[in-house]
Amino acid sequence: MPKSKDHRLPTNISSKCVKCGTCHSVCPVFDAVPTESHTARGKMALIEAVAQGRLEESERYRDYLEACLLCGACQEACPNEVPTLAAMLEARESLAGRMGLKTGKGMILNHLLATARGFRLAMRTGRAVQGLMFRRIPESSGLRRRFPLPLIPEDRTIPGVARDFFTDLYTGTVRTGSGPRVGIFAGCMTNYFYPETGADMVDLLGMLGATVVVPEGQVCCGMPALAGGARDTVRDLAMQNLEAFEEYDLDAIVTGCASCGGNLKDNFRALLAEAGASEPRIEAFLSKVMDINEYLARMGLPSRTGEGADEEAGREPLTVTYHHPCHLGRLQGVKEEPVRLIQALPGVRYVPMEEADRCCGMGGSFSIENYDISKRINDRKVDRILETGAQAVVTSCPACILHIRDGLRRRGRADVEVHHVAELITRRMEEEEVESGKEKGESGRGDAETRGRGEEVSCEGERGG
Amino acid sequence: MEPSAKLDRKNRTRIRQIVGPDHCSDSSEDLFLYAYDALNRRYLPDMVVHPGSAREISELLKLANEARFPVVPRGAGTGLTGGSLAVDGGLVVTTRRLDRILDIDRDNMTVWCEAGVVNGDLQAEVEKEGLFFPPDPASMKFSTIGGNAAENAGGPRAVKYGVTRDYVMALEVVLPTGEILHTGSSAIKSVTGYDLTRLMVGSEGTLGFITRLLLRLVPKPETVRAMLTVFPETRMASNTVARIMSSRIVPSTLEFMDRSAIDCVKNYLDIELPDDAAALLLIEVDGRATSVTEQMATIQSICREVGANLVRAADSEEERESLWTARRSLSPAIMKIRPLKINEDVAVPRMKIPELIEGVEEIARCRDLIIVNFGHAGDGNVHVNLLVDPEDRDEVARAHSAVEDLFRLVVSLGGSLSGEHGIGIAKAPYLAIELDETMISVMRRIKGALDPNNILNPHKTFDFDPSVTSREFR
Repeated sequence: MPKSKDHRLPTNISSKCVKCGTCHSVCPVFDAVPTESHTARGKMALIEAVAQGRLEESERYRDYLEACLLCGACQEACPNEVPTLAAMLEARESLAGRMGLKTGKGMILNHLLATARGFRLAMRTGRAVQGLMFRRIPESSGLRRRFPLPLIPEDRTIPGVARDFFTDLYTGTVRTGSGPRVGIFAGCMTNYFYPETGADMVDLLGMLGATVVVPEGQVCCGMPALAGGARDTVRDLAMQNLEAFEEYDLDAIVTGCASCGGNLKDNFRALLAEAGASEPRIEAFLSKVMDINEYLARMGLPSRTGEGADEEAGREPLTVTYHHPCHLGRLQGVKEEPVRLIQALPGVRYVPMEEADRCCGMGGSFSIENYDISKRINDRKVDRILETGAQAVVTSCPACILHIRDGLRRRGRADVEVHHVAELITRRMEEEEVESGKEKGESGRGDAETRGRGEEVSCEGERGG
Repeated sequence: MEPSAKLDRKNRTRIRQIVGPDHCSDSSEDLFLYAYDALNRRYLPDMVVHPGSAREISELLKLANEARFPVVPRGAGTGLTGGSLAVDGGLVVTTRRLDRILDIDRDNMTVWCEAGVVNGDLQAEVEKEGLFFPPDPASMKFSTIGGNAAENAGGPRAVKYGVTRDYVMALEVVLPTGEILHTGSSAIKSVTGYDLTRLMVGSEGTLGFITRLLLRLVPKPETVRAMLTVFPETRMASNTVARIMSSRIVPSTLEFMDRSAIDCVKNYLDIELPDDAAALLLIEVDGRATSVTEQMATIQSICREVGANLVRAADSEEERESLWTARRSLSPAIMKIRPLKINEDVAVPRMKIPELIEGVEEIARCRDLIIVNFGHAGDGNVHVNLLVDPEDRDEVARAHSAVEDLFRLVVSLGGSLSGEHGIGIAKAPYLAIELDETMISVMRRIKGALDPNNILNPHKTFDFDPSVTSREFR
């Protein structure tokens, strides 16, 4: 692979760290295994030593840099406001530039993710062979491996590759309404693993009167590649996405993936500029990007869903708690919106969770390379979920959904439902329509339950959250 | 005295055998991870180990005496004066695996724990039993009890509850020569023999390696109330503190900020501060709800009588939190002024605070520096922060001169170089400003008796050697 000449090491960032140790108290990885290499200050010290030429970029250095969820808790707590996430990404980029990516990982990041066609092909292959490699777990619609496979531990439950990909089912203008024109940025996990989340978003936006567009040329946001240090690849992906969404005249670009959204908002400006896009083009694209929760709250959805309607209907509400994805709550500051949306839903009672903004332990490739630590972090999240006694846990990131489902299963609590906010809202709104239909003597059912909840996809999408 | 032999291959092998191969490392990456503490200076050790018992530490120290290599105890590495730095290389020994809370005794109100337990974790556990461990250094969420005891850490609650020293009843300590010493007693009263517990607490890891502690606990206060008050003159704040104390109220917190500190945090506050704000006090009272309400009323009227131009009491936990944002936002706010903060935690008799602040303002003027002062008004422990740009050599040099001016001022006011951070290497060059020859000579003799080969945490405090510490890298 080509080795980048300019490895930019973030010395100016890492030297801002004064080694106070505050990051010890918030890092989920340090909490699970308290070694100095797991702390932000330790990583800043290593980055600094490398930048000063005192330390080689070794395999061990790489392992230490990769033992990070990119959850951003250290950055939030840091009294000196050291931008640790930026430092980590830049250090990993330098590492990839100098040492190359790990075999396997490098191939995935550079060849598969880099083109929509390549990745799609890989997913199709995965779909075709997953029956051979995994056995289906009846009560979870998840998969367990049948024989040793690299990257996937024996006790891990992962979703199968979907029978139909979201962007195959929904292409171009998929709903026409009188409201705003809204584009959907699907993201790989939604596209290949959880197409029903994408379908729910389409229905929901449609119900709100939007014209819904799924631009054909959209590709991976590149977060996995960026987290792996393959910035060159991500520049191309950013440009392809810009071009895909420019095809349509849109009022808003909405995503249901916290990590994609975080990446678009935080990193795309610089990436697109590096790729040569002009400032007005970048601005026209990025100024429209928002998370589905932000969009719904902006459209005044809570008031439309009929707050407090349950007591009147005299039925037993579904108890729901909410997990804040790191890349939505902490990175994008979208914390209140999802909770307000859930609280306003008819037939739902919201129960708050302790440590709701603590990472679930997924962290993209972190959970592949450090599954044991990832499980310990996830155990704490599952404890907090179970303490609420809620029947369902809702979140806004497909990666968190994957990992929390895996955790609940491991603890024998697959009975606790895990949903995307968009799915919960769509289901409740459709059931409301059915309810009101019944009152009028009609029969019928919302199609949320019956719609193809695909055979899912079984390749790990790597992302930072 | 000088440990000459470094770690050769044979000794590395023996160290590995003592702690097990999974619990030690001499890879360059790991050495860089244990090269710093919160003083933010860098010295590479030769090896790092994480032993699992006092017995292993004892064997390590015996080996160190044979082979004459330095051994440096380390908790979380959050000390501010360099106590855990391997300034002359050698072996860094952490308490990472000594992290168990062993026995909480509700009835006797004590707890046995290992040295590597994080202070905040211990507080949370004992509070579940209705008990309270008062020492609350700013680092309490990440610093260890062992480190707190070795440095005799204090915190805002010291004004009412005292410092770490006041809560340590007994210790298990591995001596520099490898014997395991058990000091103190489980009885509250014990005068049998020398008080070696107090000798060890605050010895900065130079006299022994603390592995276990028996800590005294107190009942958890029923409630805590907070208020914030601002004065147009520093002296008014000191007078207020004196009046509060003489009215037989002991607040659990009496945090102080001077004009420069108030300027730093003004924008972070929900409260509009008066233009004329020379001193700010954050006051907390804890205890039974009824008595706390009474005491708050008394304190408020004292503040007004003395001449406060703002008095704001928090009625809820949320309001209390928002008052604390003033204090908590200070550190990041300060770092925006200059990237480097030299934090000196000097202490004076509390009625001397106005003279200290005036003196510091004078030093800032003479040395052309920005100095921000805040701290614990109740016990006279003031954090004097000199803000410098490390790239500006002249400013750095002026700051070093200013530190010496400061220490001379503090000692002339009957005060002390360090209230709670310790001496380590950061304050060691100035030790003689406060301690006379006899003091230093006695300390040297104690050290020599316990550590004849000078292997445990050498070159700290009175053993400071600039030719060694100048070998740091940046």
